[in-house]
Amino acid sequence: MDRILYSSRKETVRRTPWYRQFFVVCAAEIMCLLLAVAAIGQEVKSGEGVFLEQLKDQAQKFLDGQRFSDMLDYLSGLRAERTDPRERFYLEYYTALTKSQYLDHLDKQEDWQHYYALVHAFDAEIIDTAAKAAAENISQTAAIDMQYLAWKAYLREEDEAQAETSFNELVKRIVAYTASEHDLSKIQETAALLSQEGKTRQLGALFAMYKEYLLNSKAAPEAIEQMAKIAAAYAADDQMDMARVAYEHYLSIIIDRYAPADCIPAMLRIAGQFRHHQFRRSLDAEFAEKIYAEIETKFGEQALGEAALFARAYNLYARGEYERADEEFNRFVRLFPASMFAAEAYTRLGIVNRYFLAREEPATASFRKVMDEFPDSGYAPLCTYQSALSAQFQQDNTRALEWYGRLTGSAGAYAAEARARCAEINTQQAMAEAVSYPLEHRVLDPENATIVLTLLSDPSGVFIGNPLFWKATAQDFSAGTVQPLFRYQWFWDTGSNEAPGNVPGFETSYSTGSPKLVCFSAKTGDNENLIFADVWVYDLVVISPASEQSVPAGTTVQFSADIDPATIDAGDFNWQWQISGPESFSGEGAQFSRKCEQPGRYQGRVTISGNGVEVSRPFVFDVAVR
Amino acid sequence: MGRRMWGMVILCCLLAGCARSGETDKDTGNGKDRIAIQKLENGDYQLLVNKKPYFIKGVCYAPVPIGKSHLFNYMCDPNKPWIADGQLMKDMGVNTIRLYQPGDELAYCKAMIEELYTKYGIRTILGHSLGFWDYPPPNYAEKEFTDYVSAEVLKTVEYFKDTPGLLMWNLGNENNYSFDGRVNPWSSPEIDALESFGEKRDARARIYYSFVNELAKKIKKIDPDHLVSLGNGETVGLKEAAEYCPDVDLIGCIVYRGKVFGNFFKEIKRKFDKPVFLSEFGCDAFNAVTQKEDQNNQAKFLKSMWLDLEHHSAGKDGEGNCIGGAIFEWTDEWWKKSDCDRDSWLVHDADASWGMGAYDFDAQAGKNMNEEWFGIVGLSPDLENGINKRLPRKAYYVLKELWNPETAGLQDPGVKSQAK
Repeated sequence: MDRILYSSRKETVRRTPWYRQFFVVCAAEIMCLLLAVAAIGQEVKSGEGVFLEQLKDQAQKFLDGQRFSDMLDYLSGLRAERTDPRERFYLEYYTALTKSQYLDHLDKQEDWQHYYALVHAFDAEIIDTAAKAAAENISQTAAIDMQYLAWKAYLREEDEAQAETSFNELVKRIVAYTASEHDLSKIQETAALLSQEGKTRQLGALFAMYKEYLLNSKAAPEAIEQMAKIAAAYAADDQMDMARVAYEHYLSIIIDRYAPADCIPAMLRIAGQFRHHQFRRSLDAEFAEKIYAEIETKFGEQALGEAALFARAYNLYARGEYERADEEFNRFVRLFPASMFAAEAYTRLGIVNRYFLAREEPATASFRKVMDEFPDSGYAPLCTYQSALSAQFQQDNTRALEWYGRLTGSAGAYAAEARARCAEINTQQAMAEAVSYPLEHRVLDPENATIVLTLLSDPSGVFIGNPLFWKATAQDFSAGTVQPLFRYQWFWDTGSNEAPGNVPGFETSYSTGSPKLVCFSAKTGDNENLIFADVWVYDLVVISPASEQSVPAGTTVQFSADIDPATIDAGDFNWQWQISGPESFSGEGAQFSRKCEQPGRYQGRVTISGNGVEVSRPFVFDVAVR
Repeated sequence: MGRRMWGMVILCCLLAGCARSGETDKDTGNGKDRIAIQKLENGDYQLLVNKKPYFIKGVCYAPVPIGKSHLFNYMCDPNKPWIADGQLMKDMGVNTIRLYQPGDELAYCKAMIEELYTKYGIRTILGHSLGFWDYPPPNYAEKEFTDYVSAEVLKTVEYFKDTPGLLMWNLGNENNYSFDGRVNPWSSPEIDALESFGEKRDARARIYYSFVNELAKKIKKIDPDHLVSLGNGETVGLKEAAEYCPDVDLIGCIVYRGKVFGNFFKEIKRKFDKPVFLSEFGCDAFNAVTQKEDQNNQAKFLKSMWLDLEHHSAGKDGEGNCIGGAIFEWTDEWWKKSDCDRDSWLVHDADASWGMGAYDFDAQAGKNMNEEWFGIVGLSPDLENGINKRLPRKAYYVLKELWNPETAGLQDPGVKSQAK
């Protein structure tokens, strides 16, 4: 029944039923209560936020200044006053952070006395705090940071198993955080820390998990491109190892997900960041070549295009892969004969063939091509000079003078050199050694030639008495195929066979087991290089029966042999035993047993064969009358 | 009655005390250490000192100061470097030092050995090079030479046999590297008459090891209280050593094989079957590739080596014949580049005179064994108490954690205050 309200108007007004009023009042009160709670909550959060900001500021001030003890004193003071669990959590977090950074500092300073006095106690605390952080679940980002510190603690404690587990947990947390918050900052921070520590493998694991997350969540291209942005940021910061790791994972996604029209330009862009440029050497040009090769494999030869093909050829040239560079420059001029880069390509072909591959004919042809067909090119003077050098070296003085003559009149490049060469010809002097030596020996810089040694022997499975052929080669890559004269020397670990003389290979055999260390050295001029090889020389040893052992008739005799050292797998060989005497029998395997009834002297032989080896050892034992 | 009873009790106690001291005399031979090798039932070997297992946690000790060479007799140094070193060694857990030679001044050597033992409990393995590096050069086929060396060695033994702290004798160093004629070659008409290189080498081995064996027997007659070790380079000549040198108590080998020793202990067990200690093993603290000091790799390698030694000690899963080792070496030696060039003794040269690929952190340099950098304690040109200030490297602390774990972390210096 509606209540009747007083009204100035003499009319009857229908009132709101009481239950409706009650409902409205209650709803209003509930709303106020909720708002109040929200406000209080906000106030609490703001309070915590202020406290955190304070901690962050102090941490920055103290830790950046390496004032670790001041930071710990500060935290200790706060710990005495603060009782809120969340605030105490952050105090523990910053304490762990400070201690971890202090240990890093001591490590860097090589202050081992303090380091070893503190490390185990600190690491135990850090690991403990990390476990609590995970359990309390107060802050995702702080838990991630703590997990990172715990991982580092396990590394310091050399607990590889726990470190691996801890790192995997860290990566899971980071990916989970990234997925829920759509915030890449934790990936970036952690990746930066890992790069600073040189932990490339872990960095790869981090990006691998992120890539999996992107693939599993069917992420949109925008999300995938985030990875490229991270990588590009590293590259811009010259952190190429991190950039490579990130790009490798990025490329592995886009190669399958993107259309070629989008994929190829992205790949070429990345290759461009890593390849050698004429005025900028790359620290990781190998990655660029890997990308070019991938493009060609996936999308065909034409996919590279003019600029990319030239860039690839130059990259190979700058990496010292001269055979490959020769192939690619030749391919370039074949596919793009009218290119603006053609003159340079021919020039590089000339240099590669003359100075690195010692192929005079293609070298001359390439230099002549530039001289004759690209006379206005910036490379023409060099190629003209090289062509004239070649002629002079071959004593075709007429040609030499003609070509030098094209340079002597100008004040440009090679004018002075050309005049000097002309003077040599006109006065019938020999070419200056500094000029002729490279042509003769193909060595650009004999002082700094690098001797690369390769051991060609495979000394595995060497047994005492069996022949072993040692062989090694020496190469000076700056000299091309016309190698300088090397003087070889072989060194042995002492007590072995007489060391042979100046030979690149020889046959020997060892009379004693044990590891051998062999060193091969090659010397040319003042340059020398050494290569070492360890070889285990094995012995087949009869363990049982002992030599000249006498056993009573009717005894079960154990026959066993072993290969010493045990670094080789006895199971890789066939084992055969032959025993002759009053009774003859045979056996197989590294050990077997047999009852010997007949007294007398027995002669046995155990043989192993397989893996290109056959070795046997004799033994003797007696069976005595009971 | 009560007094009589008490008298009897007191008398019995006195008698028991006398009985115990009699036992002591019998056991330790007039108060000397009782040093013995024990072969366990499973064939493992243990070194016992006064009936307790003793695992040699040793260092090769030759603290040549900066600016001096190996000819400097540090044992005569009035600053007594072994006092500072002894304390550091004790803190680290070193229980033994290896001396290559007693030097010319035996009294000083004796005093040093005694002082290291009485102050720090550190015992000494005393070696003799058997004339290998003397002049005239060695010739173990010549009676005159071997008689001379024997007389010198026995005189030394007679002098030192009762020195408190003496652990054992070590005869020779890497003298076996002379068998193939490349180091200090020696020969005789009989050896020269042999046809093949191998026969000549084997003949030298027989002659040398027979000489050492005879010497060992003579030493034991003079000094039955101390063990005699055959000093050997690697396992070279082991077969001949087993046959012609059976009377030594153990073998001390010099081994540089990188992080672990491979089948070394197995080979010793198979071919020599006596306890073995590594009389030299180690890793230098210089990276021949980066051309910088590298304490991290030195520590890593030494730790790995030590754990391998322990693995092959009695009761573990290895060969059970290892009784410890002496790390080469305690301090750097700045003269190693050249013993003639005095100026170089003042420089911490980074030259590497030989290479060993198993030290893989700088093997690509080829020659990577930087002889002046093998110390686990570096030297400063600054003096402290009259000697070069000691700068313990990371390896010192890493080994300390293994050799003296009870003290690890005890001296907590706390976090240092930084200057504001």
